Amino acid sequence: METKTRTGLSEVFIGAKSILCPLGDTPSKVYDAMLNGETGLKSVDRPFGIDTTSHVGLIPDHLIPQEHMDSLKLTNMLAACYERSVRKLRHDAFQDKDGLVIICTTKGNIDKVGEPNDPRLPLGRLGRFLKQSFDLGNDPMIISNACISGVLGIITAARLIRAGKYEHVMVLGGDIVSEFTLSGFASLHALTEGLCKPYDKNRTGINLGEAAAGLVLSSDETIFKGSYSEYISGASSNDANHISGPSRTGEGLHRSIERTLKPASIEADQIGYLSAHGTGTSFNDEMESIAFERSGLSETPVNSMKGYFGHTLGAAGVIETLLGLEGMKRKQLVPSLGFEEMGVSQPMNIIQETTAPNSAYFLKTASGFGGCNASALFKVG
Amino acid sequence: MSLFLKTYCRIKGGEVHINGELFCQHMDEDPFLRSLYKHIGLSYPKFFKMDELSRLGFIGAEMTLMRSELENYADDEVAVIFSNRSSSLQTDFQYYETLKGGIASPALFVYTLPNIEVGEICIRHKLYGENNFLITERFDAAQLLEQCEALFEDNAAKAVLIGWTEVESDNHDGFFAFITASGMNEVTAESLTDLYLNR
Repeated sequence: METKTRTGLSEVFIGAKSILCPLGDTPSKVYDAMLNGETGLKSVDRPFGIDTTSHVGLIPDHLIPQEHMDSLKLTNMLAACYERSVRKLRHDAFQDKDGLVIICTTKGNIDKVGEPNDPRLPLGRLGRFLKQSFDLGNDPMIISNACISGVLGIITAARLIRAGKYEHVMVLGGDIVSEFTLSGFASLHALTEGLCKPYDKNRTGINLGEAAAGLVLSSDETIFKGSYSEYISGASSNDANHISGPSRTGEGLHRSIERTLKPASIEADQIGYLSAHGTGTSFNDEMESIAFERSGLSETPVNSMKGYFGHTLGAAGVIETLLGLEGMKRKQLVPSLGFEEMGVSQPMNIIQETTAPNSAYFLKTASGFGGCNASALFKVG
Repeated sequence: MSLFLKTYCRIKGGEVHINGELFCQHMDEDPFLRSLYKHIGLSYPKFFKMDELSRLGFIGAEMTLMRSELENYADDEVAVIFSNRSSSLQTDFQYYETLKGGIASPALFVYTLPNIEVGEICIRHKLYGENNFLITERFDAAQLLEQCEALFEDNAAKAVLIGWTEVESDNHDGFFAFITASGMNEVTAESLTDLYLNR
């Protein structure tokens, strides 16, 4: 029997969090560190031999379990998150046909790009590895849609559940810091030497970070051993404007937010917390301020988490949703680390001290190259 | 739910088939996609800045969408869901060569994400709808149609341009289809796979 909410959307629950990032390997450890104002970003001179100085967020080696046979970092990170999320469920739902695993990554095992014939390099390999290692009932779905991959994975999971295709979907996000991505963002002059300062007047660019994270969405809340929240709705939208520059009008992000709130019959002023993308580049942060203003979110408490562990690319949407849910559950929203002085043209209510959300609704947004934008709405408590 | 096929396009082995009929063959000296660009009378200078994967997607989308009565849809009612096996790996290698050569190319780096081709298509046709890019080891009609169904059920789209674009040196493997929630020509994973395999 499926349960319908008052808006006619069938219920989808979200929980079973797992995480691996520069700040730690459990959601509570990572969130405690964030509440303490710690950052996992460290200054590295010539990281991976690249001619630049930058702060990067690297996961300490001892935090990455090595027990999986494919000795690659990202695969081990994803496998560890898979196992930890499963442990938070009453049974491993993914060995059956009604369970699906979605992997969200921009570059997969790109640290092998110098060895073109390495069979572990193509993205499809990640799916096959997890399927074989964990005896999964279905081929994992792999989403590679730039920096919205993680949020898109969550939206896709919920849609597949609502369409009756699967009962449980695990969304795993993961990307590593590599010579490849660091050099690329350096070539675009998008890296900042210091710590990133999302929405600040003196922001000069991004820090890259690496992370993996997992969340399980399900139509059956009894599968979760511990706490869970509710997924309400979500949407993606393209700017149809430029492949690497954010839209000057915030069109796609604004539309994705509108298309998220409308089917849920939720007004912008009902949202208690907005976890934004906030990379710390001049154009991205400005675009977001315009889109949020157009969407009626200028007064909503908002933060970017990039100052805590950097921009984690395909993992960003999963790890930031997960930590946003954690903050909502604890009723402690963390400050937007690195922000001091308003540096975008439209008003934003940027969180500067730990604060409690003023409603149960939490909105997560992301934007990426290719003009893509996504947002997802959750209800916590 | 039932899904319907409006138009499809197959690009393979130097030939283009539209709705099952031979549309053109690679005849002249120009590289295949450049020759196709001229053949269909395109004037879109940005085409020449694109990487090969985006060019394949762009041309395939052009030929499919111009036969799909796009004007019947609002600008955010058409989703674009693409897929392939190798992501942007060919361009990744080219970018990596510039890096090893001493000067990393930002123009190439931008194309080291597979969904850039979806962005190029959205810009060209002013599509503000849903996007996704999926990696599968082979053309997976069932997964793509499952995505269409999930979007239609969620009222997130009324039509979906699905695509498969794989480029390996001079070998292009493209398949494009305009899938709708209502229509005449019902489509299943089996029938769509047949069209992919048999043009």
